Amino acid sequence: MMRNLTPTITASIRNNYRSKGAVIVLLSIALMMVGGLALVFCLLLIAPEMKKELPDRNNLELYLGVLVYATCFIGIGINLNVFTYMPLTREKTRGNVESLLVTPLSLKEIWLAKSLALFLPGMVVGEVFALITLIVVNLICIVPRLDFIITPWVAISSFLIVPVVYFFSSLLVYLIGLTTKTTTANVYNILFLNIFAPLMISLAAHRILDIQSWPFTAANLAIAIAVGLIIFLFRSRLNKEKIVLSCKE
Amino acid sequence: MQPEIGIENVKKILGGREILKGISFTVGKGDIFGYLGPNGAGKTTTIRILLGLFQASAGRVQVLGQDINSSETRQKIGFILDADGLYNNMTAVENLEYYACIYKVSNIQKRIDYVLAAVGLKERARDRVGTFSKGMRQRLALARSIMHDPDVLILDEPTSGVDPSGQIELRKILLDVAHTEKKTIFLSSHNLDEVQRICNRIALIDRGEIKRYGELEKLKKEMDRGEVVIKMAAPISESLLTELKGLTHLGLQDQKGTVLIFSPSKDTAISDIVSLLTEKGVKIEEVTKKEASLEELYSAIVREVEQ
Repeated sequence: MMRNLTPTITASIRNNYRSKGAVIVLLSIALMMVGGLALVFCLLLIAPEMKKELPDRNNLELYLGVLVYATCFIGIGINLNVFTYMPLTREKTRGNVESLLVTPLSLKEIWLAKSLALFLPGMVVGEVFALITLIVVNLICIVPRLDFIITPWVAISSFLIVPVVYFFSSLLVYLIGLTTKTTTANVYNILFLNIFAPLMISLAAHRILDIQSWPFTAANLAIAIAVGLIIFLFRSRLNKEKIVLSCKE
Repeated sequence: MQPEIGIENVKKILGGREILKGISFTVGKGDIFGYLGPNGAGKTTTIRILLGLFQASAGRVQVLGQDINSSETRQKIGFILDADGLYNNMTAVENLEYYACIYKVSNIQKRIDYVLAAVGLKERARDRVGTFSKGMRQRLALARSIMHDPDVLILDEPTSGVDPSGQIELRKILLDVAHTEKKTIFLSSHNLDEVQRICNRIALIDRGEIKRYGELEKLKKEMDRGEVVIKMAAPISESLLTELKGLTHLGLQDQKGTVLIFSPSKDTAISDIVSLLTEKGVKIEEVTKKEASLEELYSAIVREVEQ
């Protein structure tokens, strides 16, 4: 199956990200948000904690955990927001999608390949940004006095479960975008990023859910499962006729 | 012999409206089949059903004797849709490579070189498709459609939006492809001239119904009123004109200056008319048998529908 998907994933990524302008917009927004977030966390939370005679490692783990998690969530989310509407609208109006439906590829293969083409670059951006943030903040602020801080549950939530959440989100976005108006898919993207990112970050920051423990990871997994269930319920909407008719809207 | 494309009593209802009202036709191997009709007649809906994009509400559709929904069948079909589906940000070669990978074409580079040469785009192979004219895009779409060496080509108005010289070029390429690669071509169009030039069989659709269907030459013969146009050196006298009108078997239709138009009865030969006129002292310069054109056939159907 992967052999069937690879050409479509490659072509879609090539087509989506060939516009330098769009890539610059994506990286700029991500840099501004992630950089801003890291700066705020460092100046207002981590640095004051490190200035204490005995810095509280538990607090530092929380601050760094929330920062890394938020970086990953926002990094992947921004990609989804920037690269859903325009490319999908373009592909629908120019007949790219309709043409693909006539090829020997199955509808599910096209859906999966397109979703992966949207998700994979975002995952790379999100994870790389989160990893850089983790290393840089540790090296600049923490390592001079303490050892490198990273907790396993934060790593699992940020680097594993958040991408899973967004993978399912990409599938849902393409399910909505292919069968209805592209704007509807974009509304989902905006709502998802603006509701779930602040919600999960708040729950962790207010210690309602301990980011260093498994319940936080489980909560993220629950979001992924919920999105997966929505896809399962609406999967029958994915048919060629619906897609072709939505391309003409 | 099994037809390459078979449509039997196909109906399609979309949004409560019956777009196709039980259409039937077959396309044989090697045919260049013209599917004619005005805008909104149901041509694109038929093509979408043939390509498996729409499910027929009723009736039976087979391409190459198989169900179109199987990927094996789709592997043997080449297509051009109303929107060309090319990627503007990719070069001509990249567009072809992509489809070659999907269709699992072997020896991709050789095949790309061949199809680009066939459509005359070798020079622009490395240019982005976004910089191509409409005519070049359609040629590239045609190259893409034959990339995987399909048995059947289904083309939805391939020359639509292309300038006249581009249309001529595209038609020539299409004919070359049909003859050298021995493809069966199903071509929808509302360009009568185009269909008349390249198709051997046609179906005329209007408001979801097939109005005429069969070999183009036969259909034209059916329409043929056997008109004979005789050009004379000088106009004939009023008395001779009255006399000719009285000879009903000659079927004198009209006189326009030095031209007489006859629609003779079946047992009257053209030579009879010529002999008669010569006997009467008429100097004949030219005799032509007027053949019915596709345009007349089309107009007759539109008139029938309107009545």
